[in-house]
Amino acid sequence: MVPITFWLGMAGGVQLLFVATSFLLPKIFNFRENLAKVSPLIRQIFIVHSIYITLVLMLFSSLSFFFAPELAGKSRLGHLLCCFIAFFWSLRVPIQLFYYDSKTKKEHPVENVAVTFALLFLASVYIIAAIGGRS
Amino acid sequence: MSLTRAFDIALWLAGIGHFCILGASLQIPFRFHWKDELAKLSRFNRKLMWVYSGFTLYVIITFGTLTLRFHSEFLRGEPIALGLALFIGGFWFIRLILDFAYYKNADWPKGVSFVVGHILLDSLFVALTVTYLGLVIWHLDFL
Repeated sequence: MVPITFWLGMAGGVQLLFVATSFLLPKIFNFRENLAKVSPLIRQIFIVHSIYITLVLMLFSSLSFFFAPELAGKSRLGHLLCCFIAFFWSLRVPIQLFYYDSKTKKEHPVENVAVTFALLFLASVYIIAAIGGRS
Repeated sequence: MSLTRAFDIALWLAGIGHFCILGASLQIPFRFHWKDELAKLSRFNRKLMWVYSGFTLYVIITFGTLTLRFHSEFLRGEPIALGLALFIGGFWFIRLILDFAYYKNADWPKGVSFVVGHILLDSLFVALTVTYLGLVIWHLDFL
């Protein structure tokens, strides 16, 4: 049986793909044109938050590569961190399915399916690691 | 006061500090009139803004909770705790740099409460950066 640490490493790779994709989002979703309509402070907050999220994905990815045994239960801190990451991705699945508007998703059907499966994979891996690490 | 005692206190305060930032962050949509402002964005970008903001808050809660719950692991310099401390310190350091280099004072709403709030937030970002990065540097000295 493939150990959970292997799947955590795979999850780290998937999150790196999300990081790479995040550099394409401004062009795909016309950030420049859209953000020109709001006040400068709102524009700055939007950009800073998107940088934050990219940094957080880099953290999750690094932890999964370098601290997989800890996330899988070797350390108590790692285990709780794994629970937080599991909740993060579990929350992101219904947002993708029910919150983001269907019009945009229909315009990008392949990307939508790929992202949904990637989110389901990430949520599953971290949930399994979190449950396994409890024992 | 020994460095151990100094970091002991600083870590408790850093954990609590994250929840202070959370308190300030929750006021942003109301104080900066997000309802009117975000209405100007496309539907997708508006939703993206809310999702980014929600997850950012979640991350701040995570940082605060882990610091308070695993205070002794951070203080002892457990490897995963140091890795996390390096990231949290870097996260707040970047926030500080963005505040000075990217956010413009002229763009902030006017009023004493905003000026005081801005100064308090920046002071807290400095304290968090120094605490977490200082902790990492302190433990690396022992290697």
